[in-house]
Amino acid sequence: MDQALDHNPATAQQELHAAALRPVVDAGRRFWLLFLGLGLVAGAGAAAYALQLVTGGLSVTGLNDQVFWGTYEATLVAFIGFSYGGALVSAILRLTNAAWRGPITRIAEVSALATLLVGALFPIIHLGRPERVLLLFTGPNFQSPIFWDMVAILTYMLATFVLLLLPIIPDAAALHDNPRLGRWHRRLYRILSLGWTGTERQRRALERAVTIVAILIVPLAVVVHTVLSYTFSLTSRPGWHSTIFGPYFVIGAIYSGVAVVILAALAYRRAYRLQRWIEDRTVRNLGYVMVALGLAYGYATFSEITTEGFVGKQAEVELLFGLMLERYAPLFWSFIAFGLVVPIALIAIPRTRTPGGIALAAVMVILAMYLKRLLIVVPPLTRPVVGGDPGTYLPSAVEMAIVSGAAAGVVMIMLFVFRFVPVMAVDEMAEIEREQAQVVSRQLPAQATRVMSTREATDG
Amino acid sequence: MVSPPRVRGLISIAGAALVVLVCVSPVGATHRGQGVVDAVSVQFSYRPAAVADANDQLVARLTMEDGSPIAAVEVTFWREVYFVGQRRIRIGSALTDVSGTAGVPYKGPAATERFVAEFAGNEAFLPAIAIASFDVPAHPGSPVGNPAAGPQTTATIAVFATFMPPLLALTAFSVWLLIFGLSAGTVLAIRRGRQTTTVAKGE
Amino acid sequence: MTQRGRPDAVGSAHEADPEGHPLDQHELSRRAFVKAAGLLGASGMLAAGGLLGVTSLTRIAAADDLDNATPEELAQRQWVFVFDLRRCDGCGKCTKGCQKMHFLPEGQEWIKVYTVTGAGGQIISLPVLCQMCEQPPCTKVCPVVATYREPDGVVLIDQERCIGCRMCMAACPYGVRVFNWDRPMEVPAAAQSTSPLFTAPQRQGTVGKCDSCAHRLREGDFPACLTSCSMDAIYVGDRIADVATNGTETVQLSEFLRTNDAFRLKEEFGTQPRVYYIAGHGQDLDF
Repeated sequence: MDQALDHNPATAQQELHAAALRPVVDAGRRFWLLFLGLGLVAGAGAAAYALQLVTGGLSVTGLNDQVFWGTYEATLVAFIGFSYGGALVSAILRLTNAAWRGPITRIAEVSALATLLVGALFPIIHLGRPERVLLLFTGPNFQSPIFWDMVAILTYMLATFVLLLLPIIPDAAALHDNPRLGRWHRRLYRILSLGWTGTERQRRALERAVTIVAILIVPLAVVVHTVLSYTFSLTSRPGWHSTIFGPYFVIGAIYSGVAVVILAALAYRRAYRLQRWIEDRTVRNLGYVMVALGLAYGYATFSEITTEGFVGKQAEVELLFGLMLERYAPLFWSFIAFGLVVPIALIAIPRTRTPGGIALAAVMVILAMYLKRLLIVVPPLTRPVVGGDPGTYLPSAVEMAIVSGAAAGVVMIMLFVFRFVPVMAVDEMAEIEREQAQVVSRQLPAQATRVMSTREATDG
Repeated sequence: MVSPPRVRGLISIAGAALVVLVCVSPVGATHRGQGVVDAVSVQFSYRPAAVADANDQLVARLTMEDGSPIAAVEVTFWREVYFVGQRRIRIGSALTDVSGTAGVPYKGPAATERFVAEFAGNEAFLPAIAIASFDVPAHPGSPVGNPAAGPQTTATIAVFATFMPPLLALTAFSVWLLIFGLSAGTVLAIRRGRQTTTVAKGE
Repeated sequence: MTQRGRPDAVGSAHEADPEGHPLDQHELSRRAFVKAAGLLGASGMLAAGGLLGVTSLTRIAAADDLDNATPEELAQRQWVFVFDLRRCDGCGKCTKGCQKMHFLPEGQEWIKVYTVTGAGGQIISLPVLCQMCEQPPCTKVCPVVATYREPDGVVLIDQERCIGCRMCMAACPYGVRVFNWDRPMEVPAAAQSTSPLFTAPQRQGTVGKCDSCAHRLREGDFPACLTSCSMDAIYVGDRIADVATNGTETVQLSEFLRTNDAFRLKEEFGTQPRVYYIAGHGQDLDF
């Protein structure tokens, strides 16, 4: 961080702490307007679900015997996929020691948790008999992908929680007597800091735990979305029964997840003037990661289509025609355009590689990937299994209300969490700076001797 | 006094072990316009296949009361089952040969089954029927009577299904243990490792 | 059924034939013989029949009282359906009969009669109901073991357990499962049952499907579709006893299937269904 070197380290640290606490401390009218507005949307969603629970059951949806899965299932996959950005940024970047991760790990982790918590509601929302969900614990079928889903998601949720909470401990210790904090916050931070004093032993223990959980969360994340894909690919339906579904879902999840992290980071950067820490460079790096994943997702999509289209089995060809040329063509090509081509172009072209351009790309990716999940769930179901007419499906008002409410709920959770938790991982950033300084100082003596010997030569 | 052929006929009837004999005839000679209509006796037996893959045989021998064979008449064979009511399955029919024997091939499940050999009668003979219970032997390798027919290709899947779930459950459980253990251990280490003196922040 | 002699002529006072000619000694002896043999045969028949009757009565009792049967007893029957498509005219009476018996919601069909165009352009009516797979994909994926296969081959749903996730509907390659989206219709109290063998009313929020009228089969009775079919196109059979009947004709199951080139749907999926179809006019049905 070049700018930090210009300042007195102590002042730089003070400013960092102050900035990290801005969402906790500065909650003005804007915040409350946004929060309450989102609350209305989330409330409408909750009311819609109450309607589904109490009165109509699943008849309030647009589902039918042929297209029996739709918006809820697509949302489930999408939101849990969104949480993968946190896994990537927080865990993988940590494990690869990418120095630029520092300012965004907290945002990444919180966005992961928020999307995961809301996403994990949808396996319950889509049930016809949600009150019996405990049977999954008391009498499950170990062979069922849905059981594996539940186990995987819960385990992943635990790891995400831990990955978020553990690094908060040193942050709370560092900030607990910050003058900007109110009394209650200070008390909370004292408790959260668990008596952290930054000793070697504590640091080692924390480092080890965070590293191990970070290592764990990568295969966990892969497992979660692979198992989610098995809900579709372990059936014999054309369009679902594809061997690529496991990796396809994982890549798509990370792709859309990174977009969510970009959006969240840019939003908080803008709202709380964090440009000094969440630099353009960081955002660009995230953009590059997103592009790489977008290319991978495009490759996988291409591979799917080529494999099915070339052989031309009747069922697959009907589905491809419907997807690319006929019924779902507008939606499919919108996905290709706004989910792959335009976002990659926006980031590839230097002109548009601005925070604004990257934010736009991220928004497009999020919306288009949601659409893609719908395109994975619905079209294969519209194709009749034995005979008869093709099925139809349109999301009902209840479904749309619930999904909108869920999206609003994600943002609300983030807003809420950052009223308590510092938006940047100050301790981690300090650690990264320390490491960077050590690297520099190791290089310095060599340079210094070279300079000195030149001077000696000129003096002498 | 009864004549010797009739004595032989009576003895053979009485001596049949697995054979239940029913003589069907209007008792007493009746004139039916064209002359005497004779009663028929039926010897019903089951011959298991001599060679593997061959069919068993249901055999009926029709004779007149004096033992002389009745040739070139049609005998129909049925299997009686109880399946949602008492029912009959037509196995087939055959003409008796010169020795009065008619037979049809039969391949059925290994069980004790009731079979019927039926002669409908004609101008010369009265109708006759024999109902008997035979033990049909098992035919190894025959799909008949086998609850699961067709190629069974799922043995490997069964193995997959049986050992994968406990493996997955074990893995999940260990991961949970690990994460909880790590968290608890870290919290403990932090609590224990704290010093009373304040250390400069951000070092 | 069996023809028996008419004993009424025995012992007539005049001992004359119907035309009045007196009977000679030869005739009288023959009469006596026939009478004796007839009585002996009849009594032997009764004895044997009694013996057989006892055993078959036991079997009947076992067949009819399968409510409390052990799995071994249940496994004595392996139910099979055969649809003779030569006779099916697509009238849909089977669907309606099934709907009536099970008090199904409006529009819910457990046996769907598809109109399929064959490779030669011919129109085929194809009734599809639960295929009673030996390797059911649906039972594999149910997360709470709400759907399961019984020892006699029927696949049932316990609607007191089903959580309504519809994974089984995704897994079934024949599309025979339906979902109870709405509130069920009124069912008279006497007909109500929560047993998976016969669930009435259908529970809202759970999956439903043809239950092979398991409750009827085990009582020794016919499924609703079979009794409703006016074309005698539906057979129900037992693989162990190697028998199948449509109520009117009874056939040896293995012979019937072999001689008529019976086929099953989607054989390549490895489900090993227990529902057979006999192609009408021997045409090729590939879809």
